[in-house]
Amino acid sequence: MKQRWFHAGVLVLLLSSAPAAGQGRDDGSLYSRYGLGELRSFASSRAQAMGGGGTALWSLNYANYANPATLSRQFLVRASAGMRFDNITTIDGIGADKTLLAGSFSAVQFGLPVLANRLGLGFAFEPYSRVNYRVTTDGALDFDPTRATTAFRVVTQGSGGLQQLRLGLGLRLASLLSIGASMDYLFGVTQQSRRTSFDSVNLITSNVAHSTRMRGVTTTVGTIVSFSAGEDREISIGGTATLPATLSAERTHTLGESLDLDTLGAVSKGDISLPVRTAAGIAFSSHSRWAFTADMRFEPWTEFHSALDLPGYDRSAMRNRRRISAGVELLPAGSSVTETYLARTAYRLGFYRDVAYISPVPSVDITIQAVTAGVSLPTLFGGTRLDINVQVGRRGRTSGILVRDRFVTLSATLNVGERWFLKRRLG
Amino acid sequence: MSRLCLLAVLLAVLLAACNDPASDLGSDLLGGGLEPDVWFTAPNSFDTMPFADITGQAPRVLAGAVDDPLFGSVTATGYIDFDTGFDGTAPALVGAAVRLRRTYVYGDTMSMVTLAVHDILEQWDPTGVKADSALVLGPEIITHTFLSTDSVVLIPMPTAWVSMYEDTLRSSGVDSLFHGLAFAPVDGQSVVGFINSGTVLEVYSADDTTAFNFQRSLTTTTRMTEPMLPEARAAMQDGTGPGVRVTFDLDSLATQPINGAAFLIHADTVAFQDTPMDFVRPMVEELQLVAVRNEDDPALLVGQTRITDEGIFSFSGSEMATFFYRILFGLEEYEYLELRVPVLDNTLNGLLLHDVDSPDAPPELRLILSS
Repeated sequence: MKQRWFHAGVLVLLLSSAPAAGQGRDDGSLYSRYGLGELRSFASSRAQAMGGGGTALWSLNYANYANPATLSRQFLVRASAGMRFDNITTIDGIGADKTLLAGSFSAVQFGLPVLANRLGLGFAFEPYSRVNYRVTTDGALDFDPTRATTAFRVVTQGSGGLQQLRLGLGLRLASLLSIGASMDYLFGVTQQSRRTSFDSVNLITSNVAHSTRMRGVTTTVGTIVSFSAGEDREISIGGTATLPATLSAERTHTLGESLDLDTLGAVSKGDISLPVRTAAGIAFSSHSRWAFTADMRFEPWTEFHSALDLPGYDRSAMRNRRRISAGVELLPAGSSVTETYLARTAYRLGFYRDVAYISPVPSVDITIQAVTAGVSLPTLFGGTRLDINVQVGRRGRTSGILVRDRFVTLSATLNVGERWFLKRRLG
Repeated sequence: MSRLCLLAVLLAVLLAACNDPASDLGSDLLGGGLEPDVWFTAPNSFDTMPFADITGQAPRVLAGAVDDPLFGSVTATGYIDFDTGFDGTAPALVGAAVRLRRTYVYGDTMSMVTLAVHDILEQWDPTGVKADSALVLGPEIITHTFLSTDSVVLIPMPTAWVSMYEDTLRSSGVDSLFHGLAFAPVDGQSVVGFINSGTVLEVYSADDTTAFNFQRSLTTTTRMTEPMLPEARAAMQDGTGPGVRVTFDLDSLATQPINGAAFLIHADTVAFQDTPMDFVRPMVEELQLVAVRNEDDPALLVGQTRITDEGIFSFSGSEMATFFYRILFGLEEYEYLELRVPVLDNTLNGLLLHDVDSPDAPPELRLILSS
């Protein structure tokens, strides 16, 4: 009972910080303005610390949504929830910089072994993309020649993003082969707004916004082939494909703030076509102490199409997303539960390089490079770990109108594992 | 375990409390052009129109005639009723005079003005009466000539008139025979204005003088000749007109949010002040912009402004912004906008405005667009 209360309390605590993002109190990268926003993914906190891939990464302690085939190998009922904190320093071409802080939730995941280590279910609620930026422009307007110039402030900002609800199933077909699939329901609202205010009682403050509501369904299929590489050593090769999807979208233009909103014009409707998303990876594990993973992802976003005018969207602005990552994990104690605390702590290191799917400057790729690291702290409760991860990286470059983000992302994820559905036996 | 809990709490607090400073860094990345956009347009029409001001019960009456080389010739007849009647027993009257306190002059200040005094022969209610109306008058009682700059004009009434109205003037009740006096122009080159304060009908007895105060007023005007204006100018004149009617074509901005509106009108003060010697032409210094929905509804006051030292009338208050916002969103409709002189003092003040054909300073509407 004490264990359940602890788990529930920490999960609530982690999730309670998530609304900070929805309330628009914080900001992220300016590049999140474009297209559908900054793409996000969260396979597991373990994979996150190892470069963010994990397509072929098995784990008994984590539900891994990088590949639904991994859901087949579950022994405990697993729940995890996490949050992240981004510190982004943006630098422009003349050396000016500003620091933005943002908090958001990472994901909520739930894994259930239907047949232990053979058939497993998984449910996840995780972000797909995120729009989160704000630019404030101050100036003076010479509007009325009979009066002094009027100071104004224009706040251009965006918020929201796409979320995805995923329901997955993994099946171990044979000792070597597992397959899996998930149905992914994408939904969400992005809002771009511009608030103009003046230092004059003669002028009206305005807040013009357009909100785009999107929803659609897609499917992710995946497979893993695992080979034994000696005693307690395993090599796995996995691949996934998320099928192209069509999102139905509605856009509403509004004027005003809070409850005093007027709709401008008619609601625009249109479809947004997402491209196929493919990933492949290889992983190696040894004696439950060492694990390596390397992944690559390819998404032909040049096939992306939107009937609605998304910020920065132009066929020439779209890029084929190419992401590579790799990581290593060391768990000194292996599967032993009697070693010291530090030996039972997992240490992870990784990196990734990503080419963004959209660029504000058609001739320039926006690349994201980061080093990832993390520790997985064991708790008194077997199967439950608190993972603390950090990413340090940069996005974009200072060339022309472009800016470079230096970001540090700190995340915390609680991974709970328990055995459920056990019959009590009287001895 | 407690250490883990503490760590989780610290992280949660850190996430929930973070905030950021404002900055314009990255505005170029967002495409620039983030500053408010000012949209300019000339009026679709800027035309003069016949106009007759409401002069009933104005605090000042005008009388006289002027032939203005710029604004044309205008005549004005003033009507004043006095608060007659004694309390108690009135003494026998031996004489009467009208004392008029002049506070306004328009025209040749060196000219003599001759006014004819008439009885008003009908009951009249001045409320809302315009300058293009007329009252029924009796025959001329007397004429009086004075210099247009005299501050006080005293017109002695003939003995016959005093005798005719002695009973009426000595009565204590509301009379039905005396309805006041009219002052019509006979000769001269200026229009003068008499203020209510200090303008009285004095009646004399052997021992005393009693003053009947200014009670009701009206001024009627007649335009004899039209203004002779320079090219690309429009004239408006208080009291007698013309007025100015303005319309805008804003269809292309339908449902476009705005932050502000300014309607700028430039006065040609140089041409306006180019007058013959000793000729005074008072200028309108304050204007109202009203929206006329239809002729039957009261007009909506959209803005009011004074002329600047540069000769500009700028309607740019929050009422303007709100009005045009409502127009663009179809929340308000109007037939036309009209420039009016505030109904404060009764004058024949004029204004020479640059019209839409002016190459120098045409009227202009500026709107701050929100997006």
